[in-house]
Amino acid sequence: MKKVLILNRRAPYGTTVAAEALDLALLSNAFEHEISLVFLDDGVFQLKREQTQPLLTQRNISLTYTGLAEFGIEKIYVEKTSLAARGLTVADLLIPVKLLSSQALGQLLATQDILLNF
Amino acid sequence: MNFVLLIKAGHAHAAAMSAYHFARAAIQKNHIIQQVFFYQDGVYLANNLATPAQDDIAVSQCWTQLAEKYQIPLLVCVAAAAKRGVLDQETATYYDKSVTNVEQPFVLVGLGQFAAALANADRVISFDGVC
Repeated sequence: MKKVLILNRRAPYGTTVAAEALDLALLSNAFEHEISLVFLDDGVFQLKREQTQPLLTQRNISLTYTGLAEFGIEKIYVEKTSLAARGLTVADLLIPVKLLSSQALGQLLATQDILLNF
Repeated sequence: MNFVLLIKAGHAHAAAMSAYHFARAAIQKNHIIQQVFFYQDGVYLANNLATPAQDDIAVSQCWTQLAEKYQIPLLVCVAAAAKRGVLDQETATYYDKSVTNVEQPFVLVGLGQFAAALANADRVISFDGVC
């Protein structure tokens, strides 16, 4: 089985990209690949707390992130400067994550078999 | 080398055509295209009602010819396709629709078929829309 890393770079709503990346993560996990999720750029907003239903234009996907650990997806990384640039800290996030510098992110990417960019 | 290609953008982007050129070049160098998987807006390539202008490149037709010549599976995510109105006979019946617009060699399958193919892939190449 492969080490599959999914890069999430887009805001959670406005497009279906985040939702379709999540579907792919869950399916690949079901096929016993080792899944890592990285959130960077506007992708860090996907993990923001308090994504409240009435304000959304699409299905609220935030519950899926809180359920990831149940499926054994626990390698979840957030790129540090993306988070800070958007005025966020780990306290603003839905789930526990590992913070990575861009340099550490580069090292992580180098250890993977497959990178999928969303 | 054994390649899996992932196409994630539709007619508004060059992704599917770039992937086609990549596949042809890879085959010429004796590599194997194990699977082409159409996901997100890439599923629109399977819509046989799409009608390019006469002087335009018919992307889906290019893929059909290549797939038939070299027996390349063209697999389309059924969930992504259904929500975009890309339906084969089975999904049309299931959702009670009167029209179908997918034909061979494009085949609607579960996303799991892509996940399964990753196990044997030497390389997975993703073709995206840029916006």
